[in-house]
Amino acid sequence: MNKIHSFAKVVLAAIGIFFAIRIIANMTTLISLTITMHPDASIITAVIWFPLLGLCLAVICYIFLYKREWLAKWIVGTDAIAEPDSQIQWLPAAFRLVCVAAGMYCLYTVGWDVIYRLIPLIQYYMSKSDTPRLGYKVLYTANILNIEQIIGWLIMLAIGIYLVCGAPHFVRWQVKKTLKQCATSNYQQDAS
Amino acid sequence: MTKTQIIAKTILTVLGIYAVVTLYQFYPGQYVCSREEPHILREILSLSVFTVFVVLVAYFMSFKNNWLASKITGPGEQLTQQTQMVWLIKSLRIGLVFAGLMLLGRSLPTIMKISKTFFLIGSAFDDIAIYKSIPKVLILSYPEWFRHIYNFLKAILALYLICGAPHFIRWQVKHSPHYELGKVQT
Repeated sequence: MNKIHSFAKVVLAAIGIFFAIRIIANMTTLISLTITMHPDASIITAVIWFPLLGLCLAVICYIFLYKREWLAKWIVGTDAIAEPDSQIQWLPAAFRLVCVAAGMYCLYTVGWDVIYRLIPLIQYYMSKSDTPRLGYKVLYTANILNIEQIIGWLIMLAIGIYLVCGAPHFVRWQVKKTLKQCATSNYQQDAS
Repeated sequence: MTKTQIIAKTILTVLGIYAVVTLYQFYPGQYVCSREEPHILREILSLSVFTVFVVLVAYFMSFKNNWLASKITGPGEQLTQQTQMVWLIKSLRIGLVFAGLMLLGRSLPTIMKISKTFFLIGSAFDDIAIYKSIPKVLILSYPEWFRHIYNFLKAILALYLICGAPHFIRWQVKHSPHYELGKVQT
């Protein structure tokens, strides 16, 4: 294993811990919100939500802590090379890691936004009494799902997937620009 | 500069940008104005004082952060002028692109709103030319104006950072200790 893989593993572990904390925080809010809305169904809520929370955490821990070696190989390439040329190999690997982290953040933002917007709709359809339905509908479901919102989610989803896949074109462009800037700065320094 | 100092400098720069974005996001004046009638002089004064504070934070965290980076990391093996410059450019670029991508996730709704505004320009001109009135889209309260301007500037910042912030990096390289030392010696 070379330095790039060690670096990638550390970054992936950090990503995993970051998202685990975010998921715990957001899920706790979600659970308390659901219990506040339906206090009589708090046991059912706990039975449904806690295994879901556990499952999410387990998946994140499995991917980012236990399978991070495989993930690091997937992101930065084979670790068979003893120690690649640090000036060239480090840069795309670091950019790729940055893209994966940002992509995860984008996907997480979309996922959370979708859940947050859909909860009032679900609550509206789950309410039994007919009397408060109209007021409830106006209060909780007004402008929840409009076309602008859905297009925003789709764009964000596309950006997130592209970044998680390593954003090859973007990384190539960034590496090219960075090396060009290094060369220009060297030239300017030599000239001065 | 040492390698760890350069990494610390990058982290400080990114944190400085994050601090500016977050401080303006939670600027207290906008919440006060949403509850009571805004007083123009008071708002200008409070915004100016707040801006001075934010500029100071940005100046010491993102621009003149060499001394802070050296305080955080302590002494170490000094890099040559050439290596330092290459490390600084690459490190800053990676950090700033990361900050830009994170900001993009939060700026996408703004970019979509800006795109939507182009379709409303026609009706806004009609309001001015035919009805001699201020377009409806421009009739906003002070907190709404503040929010729109903030979101617009944040979106521009995100795009600039994703492009690698070349001017900012060039400025940082020119103000790095080795570069300035080299200039004095020549």
